[in-house]
Amino acid sequence: MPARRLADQFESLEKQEHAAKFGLWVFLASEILLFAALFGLYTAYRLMYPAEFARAAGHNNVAIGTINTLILITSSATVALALWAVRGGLKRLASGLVLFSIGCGVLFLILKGVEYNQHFQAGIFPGEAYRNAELTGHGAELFFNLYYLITGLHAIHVIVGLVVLCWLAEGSLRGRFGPGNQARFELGTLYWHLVDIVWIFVWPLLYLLRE
Amino acid sequence: MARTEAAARHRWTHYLVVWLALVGLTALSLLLSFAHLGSLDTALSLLIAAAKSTIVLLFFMHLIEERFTVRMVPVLALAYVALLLALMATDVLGRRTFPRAPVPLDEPGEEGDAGRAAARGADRHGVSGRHADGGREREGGL
Repeated sequence: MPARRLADQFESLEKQEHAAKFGLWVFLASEILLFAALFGLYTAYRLMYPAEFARAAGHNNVAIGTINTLILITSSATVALALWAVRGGLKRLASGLVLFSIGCGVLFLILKGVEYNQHFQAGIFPGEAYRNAELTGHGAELFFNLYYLITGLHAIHVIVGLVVLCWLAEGSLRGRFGPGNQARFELGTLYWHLVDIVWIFVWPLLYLLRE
Repeated sequence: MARTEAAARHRWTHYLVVWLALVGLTALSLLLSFAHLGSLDTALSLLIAAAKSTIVLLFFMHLIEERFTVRMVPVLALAYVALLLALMATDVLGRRTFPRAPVPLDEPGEEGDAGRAAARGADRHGVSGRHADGGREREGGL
């Protein structure tokens, strides 16, 4: 395990790690604000078109949405457990748990793809291409535009999170992380939890609040 | 360092309990959505989502063991989100639009003038149709 290096500008490793964590939290706060803008649009348009939004949300596949929620919650738990394993020096368990979480993320994206495909079959496309005959009106189109924006942006975050998890898995397989040397591993897990938190709000807004 | 070492002392069951709580809340939210409680639906599902994300923040992201400076960041972010959502909702709910004249027609000919005159008539007499229609007939007659 390589020794933790202290950069010139810090007095101690503890301060260095605190600064790194603080910086990552500020980044996560900016991500929260990014999604909040989209949730704000959702709030505004839902207040303008309550009935059409409820009807359009009823078209989404609650089963897929719920399974995806459980998948992300579970992967969040296994990533938290992986950090616990790194702290306890259980390297193989840690890499196993991260690999399991990666599997969860991939499964999430596959199910998202299945759902997108169902929407495309029904003629629900974003923007001008929208041509569903049953759910007509501005409200329904706005709902599905927001649906594609929010889930699309979230899916991009899932992909980035998977890249981070791959880096964590590689690092823990090669023994780069261990007890007392888990600061970077912890930063990686924080990003994955953020992806989970965003979905926790996406799920009721796009799937549950239906007619 | 004391704080992170405190985290390492948790047993793995600690995370199992947190996971079970999250799954339980998810199931509760799903069942409530099938009950269709009307206006309570939105409030309850968002309340459960807030509870779930707080659990993730505190126990999976270990915010409960963090220093004040780190804890302050998400709290501030959430305050800004609350401000943004509240002001957007106030705007949409409290917006007053004045009755507007009909959109002018493509050709600014006789018809367009008649339309605008009818709209002026509607403004003068209130929107209850009869007077406005009368106005349109008079203008059309010219």
